[in-house]
Amino acid sequence: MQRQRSAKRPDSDSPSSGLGPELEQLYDRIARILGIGFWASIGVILLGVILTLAQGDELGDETFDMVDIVPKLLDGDVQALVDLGILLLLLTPLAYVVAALFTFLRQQDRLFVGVCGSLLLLFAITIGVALW
Amino acid sequence: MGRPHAAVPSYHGQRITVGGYVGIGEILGIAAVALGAGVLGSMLGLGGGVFIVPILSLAFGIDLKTVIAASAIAVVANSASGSAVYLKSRFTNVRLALVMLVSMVTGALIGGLLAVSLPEVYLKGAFGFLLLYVSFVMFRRSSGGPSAAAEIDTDAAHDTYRLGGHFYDPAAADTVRYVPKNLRLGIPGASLAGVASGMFGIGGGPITVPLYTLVMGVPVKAATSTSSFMFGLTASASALIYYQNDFVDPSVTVPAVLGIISGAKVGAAVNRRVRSKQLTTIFITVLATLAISMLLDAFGVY
Repeated sequence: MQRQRSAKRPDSDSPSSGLGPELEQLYDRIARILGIGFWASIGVILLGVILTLAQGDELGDETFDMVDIVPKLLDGDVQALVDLGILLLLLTPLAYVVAALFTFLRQQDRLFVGVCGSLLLLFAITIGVALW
Repeated sequence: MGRPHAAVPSYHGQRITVGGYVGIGEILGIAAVALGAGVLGSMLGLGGGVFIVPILSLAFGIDLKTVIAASAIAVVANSASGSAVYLKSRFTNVRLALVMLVSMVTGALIGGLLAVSLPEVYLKGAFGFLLLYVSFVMFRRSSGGPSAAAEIDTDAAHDTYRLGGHFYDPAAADTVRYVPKNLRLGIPGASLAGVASGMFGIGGGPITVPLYTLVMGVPVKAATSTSSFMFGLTASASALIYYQNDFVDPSVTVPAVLGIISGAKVGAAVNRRVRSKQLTTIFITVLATLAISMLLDAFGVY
């Protein structure tokens, strides 16, 4: 016999009913972005650590400049993988702002397009200040 | 290659350089401290930063800014790994978080710039006062102090910007609806949490959760999960500044991040089995002791 659900439970099996399909998708997309970004960056960091130790080197105490990471990787410097992993991790939350921006653009929600645009602008300033 | 670190004298007069110079023992020591900090932080609902920053700075003698950078990166990792569950349960309010983040990230940007430019002694003193405040907030919460949570507004007509949320609360077996209020106070208030997060590499929960619950009338579950979601983006803004100013030291950051995220998982599991008031009191005492140690160190008492 099927168990009876609480009368007050939302009217679908999803705990999220009521958000609207676009926002439902956005929540799931953000969860996926954060999960993939987290595991990918931790994986790259660990790969960098393992390869560094395998070469008989020790983990360095400084990082490469952001703009030097790709050239260093192309030169075969495995310590640059650790830095790449750290930067991937730092840029992961930014990816969900981009995903949210596209959702709100589709919804023609000007207020939230402006909110997401402001966040991206703040990060552009942050990276600009950091590089300067 | 990034610019070499300045030779920053530590608390004991010599900067401990781990990794390339001291070796695997110190790296394992940092990972062990980070694991413990992650467990304690998770059990208190604070994140590991409030423990790891003072311990690595005071006991290991590592440059405070290097530890703050490592802690900020661990906050990003913790937020990314922990937010997925809350997003799936829909406790997190993404629209509200995005609006608050504009002000919080601005604060973090200012906090990050202050952290890289202020002398370490000022940072230590400010961090000590922040830890004292956090200890006080935790003590009030654990002792069941007077609850001044704002009344929850459920009138959709008040939700001009569609920031309201609702979620199914399994504990109450009911759907909880709310419309955030006092936005004029709440949104600028988030910038304070951003400055604290940017300056000290912590999440900012001791500021944002009371802001949501006491000022804006957001239910506790939505407040904690929305705050935790916001910390990732906030901490990444300041961590990028630390990175490019050469305060990210992989031989400190990697063991600290891996230790804190592992500790947070252990802490969450332990928390489900052990929920002792005495244990919480002990942790708060540890936090207050660390606060006083940081202040004494900042004022040159020892």
